[in-house]
Amino acid sequence: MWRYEKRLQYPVKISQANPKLAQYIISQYGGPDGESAAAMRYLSQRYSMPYDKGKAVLTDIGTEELGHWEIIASIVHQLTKNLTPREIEESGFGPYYIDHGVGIWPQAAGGAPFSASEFQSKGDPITDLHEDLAAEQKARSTYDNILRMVKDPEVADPIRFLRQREIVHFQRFGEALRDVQDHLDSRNFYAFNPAFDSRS
Amino acid sequence: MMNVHDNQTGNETTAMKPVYETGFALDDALLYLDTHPDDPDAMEYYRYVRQAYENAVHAYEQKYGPLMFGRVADESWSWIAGPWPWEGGKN
Repeated sequence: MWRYEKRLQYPVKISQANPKLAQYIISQYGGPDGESAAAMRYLSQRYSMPYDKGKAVLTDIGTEELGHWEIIASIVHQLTKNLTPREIEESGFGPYYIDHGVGIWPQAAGGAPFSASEFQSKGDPITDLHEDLAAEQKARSTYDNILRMVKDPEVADPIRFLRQREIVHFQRFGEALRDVQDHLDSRNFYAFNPAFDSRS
Repeated sequence: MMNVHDNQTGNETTAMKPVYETGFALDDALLYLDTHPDDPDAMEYYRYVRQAYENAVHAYEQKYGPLMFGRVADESWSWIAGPWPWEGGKN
């Protein structure tokens, strides 16, 4: 279970609205490599993880991703404060505004709604951890892309924090993968699926 | 009135800074320990940052109210008091 701690994992204080930037950054709220997919991926995969280190890593990184999801929403919320109809029209934020006002809704930068198809839970710990390693790199690349478009230091600061966390998570998933392999037959890691088959 | 508010916000930000710093140190130690549960140096670091985090949270909550609902210590339900984190509160 979870209980709310009434703060962000990293502070977000943005004084200058920028709806165009909000529309880019919302991709990390509901896009293909976003924080919602990350949290759901890891928190779903843990049920077929047979080993304790892997269960802990999936639980605790999945939980941190929920905090990152909240940071992204806070950035978008603060970037869309006190907008005029003219600013909405000129910035290109209009299509989002028509469907959601300045509410927060999980979608990709291009408008595609969030979908569970963005992630897998394959029931095989080696497969799942490889997906997790790729997911962290894809999120890191997305943050790199966002940072090229951001000039406001108040926005760049929390985005850089999130980018750094992708790198740490990649490292931890790599260690979890090695732990899974240490439990398996080093001559053939794929001889059986430890989440399903019994060794015999 | 505006000056008083700004002043309070400034002090609250100062009180939150160690909560953010030690809270982050805890988050990072947690993930390291998950894959290195037998590292005695990391355990010592964890005990150190956990204590620092508890001290920072306690100092903040004494003045500005609870960060978790289970620590509401006021007569009335102060948990609902804003601004909430996404609005720039507790920052």
